[in-house]
Amino acid sequence: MKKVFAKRKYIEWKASSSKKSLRKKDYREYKRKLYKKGINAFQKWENYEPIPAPEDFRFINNPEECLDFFVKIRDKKNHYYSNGNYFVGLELKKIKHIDYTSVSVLKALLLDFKPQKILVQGNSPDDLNCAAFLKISGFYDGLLSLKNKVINEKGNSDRIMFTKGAGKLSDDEDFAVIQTLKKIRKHLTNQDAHCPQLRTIILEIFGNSIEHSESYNKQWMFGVKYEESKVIITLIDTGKGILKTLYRRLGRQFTDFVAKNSAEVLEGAFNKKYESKTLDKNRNKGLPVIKLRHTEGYIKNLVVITNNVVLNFADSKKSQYFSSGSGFDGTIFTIELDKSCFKCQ
Amino acid sequence: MSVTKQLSILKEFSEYPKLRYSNLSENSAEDFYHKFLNDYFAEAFQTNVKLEVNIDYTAGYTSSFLDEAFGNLVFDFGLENVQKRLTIISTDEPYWLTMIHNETFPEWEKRRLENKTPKKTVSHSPWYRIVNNNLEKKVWINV
Repeated sequence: MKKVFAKRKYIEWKASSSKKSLRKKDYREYKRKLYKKGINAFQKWENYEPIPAPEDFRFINNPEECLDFFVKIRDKKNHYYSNGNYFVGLELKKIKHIDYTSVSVLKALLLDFKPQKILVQGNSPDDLNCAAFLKISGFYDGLLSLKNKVINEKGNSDRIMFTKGAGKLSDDEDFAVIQTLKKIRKHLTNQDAHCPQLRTIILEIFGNSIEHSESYNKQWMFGVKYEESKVIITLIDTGKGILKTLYRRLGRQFTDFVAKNSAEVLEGAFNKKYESKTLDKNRNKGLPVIKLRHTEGYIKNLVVITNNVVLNFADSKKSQYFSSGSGFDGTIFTIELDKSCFKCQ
Repeated sequence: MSVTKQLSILKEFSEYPKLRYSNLSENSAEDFYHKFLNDYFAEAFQTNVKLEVNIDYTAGYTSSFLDEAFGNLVFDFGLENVQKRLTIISTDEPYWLTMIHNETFPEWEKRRLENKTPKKTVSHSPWYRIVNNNLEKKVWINV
């Protein structure tokens, strides 16, 4: 039978259907606002101000301001929403000094945003040396330019290289690390051989990142900077950080957290102090092994940055503890290698 | 007990041993224990010979790999049997011998006596354990 849409029942049906559709639209808008304000508190584009990087963007020289910058980047209140996408804006113009550790951490944070579909937009430092350093490091690769175009600049992998991994440590990821370690040895000593002591350190750190850090997708990043007579390695995870993990595992029964500052607690973890106090007794052997390798000379200038502590094993005077705030959620290891590190390997 | 059975991690298992559990990495300590070490040690026990495990010539270890592999051996066979029948060769990195003998062995023996079950992250085919001085083979821990 032919439908006559001019009939009353069809007119009513059409009106009710369009109302439903309107209601759905309203509901979607309502949910979007709720998501923006209530859950994540993302900012609106119109009110947005990019996060300024410190002028002295050298982690080792100016850790407090650098940590503050990194904390701000991860804080969702400092992200904005526009055209269905979430963004974070970086103001890098005023950077006058930069170091490899800062670039590594920034890169690790930005890699962390990728699977969360948060886009990163930023400008370049006015200082030509800093801009060139960022370019060589491949830092801009995959970021958005101010004209909203994805930048494709791979950097110079012979000088600076970043490898990332997530989830279960696969053979391919491990192979990439082993090849890099061999390349480091070749670069410093011209020998083509394994570096078992160095691999131990790298795997101990990866193991902690994968098993305990609670980072998004169990991610880690491994960065290498080749210089003429030395190599700098950074290992970064953006999880909870050693101190928060330790605290969670040991619980409030552990009085050291009240009695001592965080730097002393972290030092204790590297000195086997909490080995027998954890809930799982056969644990906490990894950090003492890393310290031992440093003492034995297999690695140099070991610096560990986690939560609100900078622990410098080569120069304890440079170790720092920031009493304000919870600091950087995650762990950063920086290691230096030179020819002498391979004498006994 | 002069006759010795040999197990080389490089030759039998992998040049690239990785982390503690199978859910954390491939070539894990959990894999190594269940695919090689448990069987080799049980065979050495049955035939009344010593087992010599060579951990040299690989790309390097984590402390957790060695702790899990040799710790489980103590848990299943008891410290006395392991000390009597196991020799570990580690010329490249003697530190591992110190760690295994001074930390892993006593800690896992304590764990065995307290009957604190080790963690398994994947299912394994039946493996050996000494119960009342007899060797028994079954799936002792279900995932």
